[in-house]
Amino acid sequence: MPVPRWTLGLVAALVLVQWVPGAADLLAYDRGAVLGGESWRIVTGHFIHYSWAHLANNLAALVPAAWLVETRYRNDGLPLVLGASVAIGIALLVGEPGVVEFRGASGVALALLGYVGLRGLHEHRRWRMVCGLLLVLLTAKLVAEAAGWRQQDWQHEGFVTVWLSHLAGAMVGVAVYLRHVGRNSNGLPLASSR
Amino acid sequence: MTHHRADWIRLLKAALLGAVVVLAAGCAGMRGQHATTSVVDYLYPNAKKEPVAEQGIPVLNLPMRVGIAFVPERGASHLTEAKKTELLEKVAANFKSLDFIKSIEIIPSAYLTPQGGFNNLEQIRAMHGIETMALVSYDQKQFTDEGIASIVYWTIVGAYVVPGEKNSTYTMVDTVIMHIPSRKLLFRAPGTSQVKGYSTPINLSEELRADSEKGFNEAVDKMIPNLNQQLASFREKVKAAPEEYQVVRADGSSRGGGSMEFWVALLFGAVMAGGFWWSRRAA
Repeated sequence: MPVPRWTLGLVAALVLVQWVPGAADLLAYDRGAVLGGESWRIVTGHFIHYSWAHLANNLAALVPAAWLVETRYRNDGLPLVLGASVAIGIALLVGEPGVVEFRGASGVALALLGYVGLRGLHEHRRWRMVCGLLLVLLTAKLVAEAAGWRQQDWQHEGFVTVWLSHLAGAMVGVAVYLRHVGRNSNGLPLASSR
Repeated sequence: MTHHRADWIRLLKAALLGAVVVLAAGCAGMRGQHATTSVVDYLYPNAKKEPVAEQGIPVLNLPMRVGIAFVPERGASHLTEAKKTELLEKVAANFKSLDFIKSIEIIPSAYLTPQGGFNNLEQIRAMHGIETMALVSYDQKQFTDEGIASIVYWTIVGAYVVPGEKNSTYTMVDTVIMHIPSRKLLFRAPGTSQVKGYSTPINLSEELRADSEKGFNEAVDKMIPNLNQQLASFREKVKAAPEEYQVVRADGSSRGGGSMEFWVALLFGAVMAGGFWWSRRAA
């Protein structure tokens, strides 16, 4: 089995920026700073976390999703990560003017999860069943969050979970999947692109 | 006659020697004055008798309305009200541009009672609608030494024209930011200055007053960057330790996060890892 270098690199980068003092001030999504011209924060804000616990929770979903994308659909990894970062940042800017600061990679994780789930529907039976279950769980999570459900309250960390970031991330997963389907609508197999 | 003249000369020499000794003693003399106010004395006048009860964690309502005032003196005031207002405006101007501060009210000294404690702060809070108070205290010492040039004072004219008085003014200004409802000190920052000058005995008090004002101006100028630094550290502290400070934003704005719930993340991870292993077994 090949070493998932991109996934390990992503994890290392997330741990590094969490560890380096002052990195968060420079990279976190800060609405005022973004509107003031620091547009890189739209992308980099997703790779900053409020605490090690916050980072650990997101890594629990991000690592297996990133690993699956890298090992099965490597060419789509970068568009997913970058596309989700930009889309979530813009969604926050337009749809959540009250969010003055944002950090966290869960939206990016959901983009990867959604994409893995959708691509898996075109693969062999057992994996198709696994991916179907994944998509059901993902949809249930988004619907429950839209209804106000929170399994974990992050108030003690001083922030609230922004549902829009999850929805935007999942939408990017769907969009990249549809782009892939469109490119392969000439009858080419939809399974692993490696 | 000759003996009589010699006696006069000896007497004159003795008188001159005496005058030199007296002048030299005067040159070595030092005078000083001290003016001070204390936040501790103002807030906890009976601290030994009545320990202040714990009031819980500070709830910071953003944007904040902040009051700023000089801690009241117990005796005669060393600074005029106009000078106090000028210095407070200088500090306030530095914070008016911050997005989390709605307004800064300069509270005149008349509203603060010496040793008024938190009861006095609560009154000010009710009157001005503020929750956070910046209390400015100071400590200033002025010393006057007579230098060697003061030896010419005995000519009388010298006391008018020769600046033989060496003046030193040491000033420290300190601002503490108190959260009134929780009675917690949020942060503090000092500023210091040292002013040296010379004056004649005739305009000594005038020069000391000018040095005093210069000392306060310089100390406040040095305190402002320290306050900014402490404010930045405090913001980080609030972010890093949300269990110690609760932030409520009146405009509904908030710090948002993209976060997976622990059990949900674990479930997704387990489904992917387990499903991958299960599907590969069959393949």
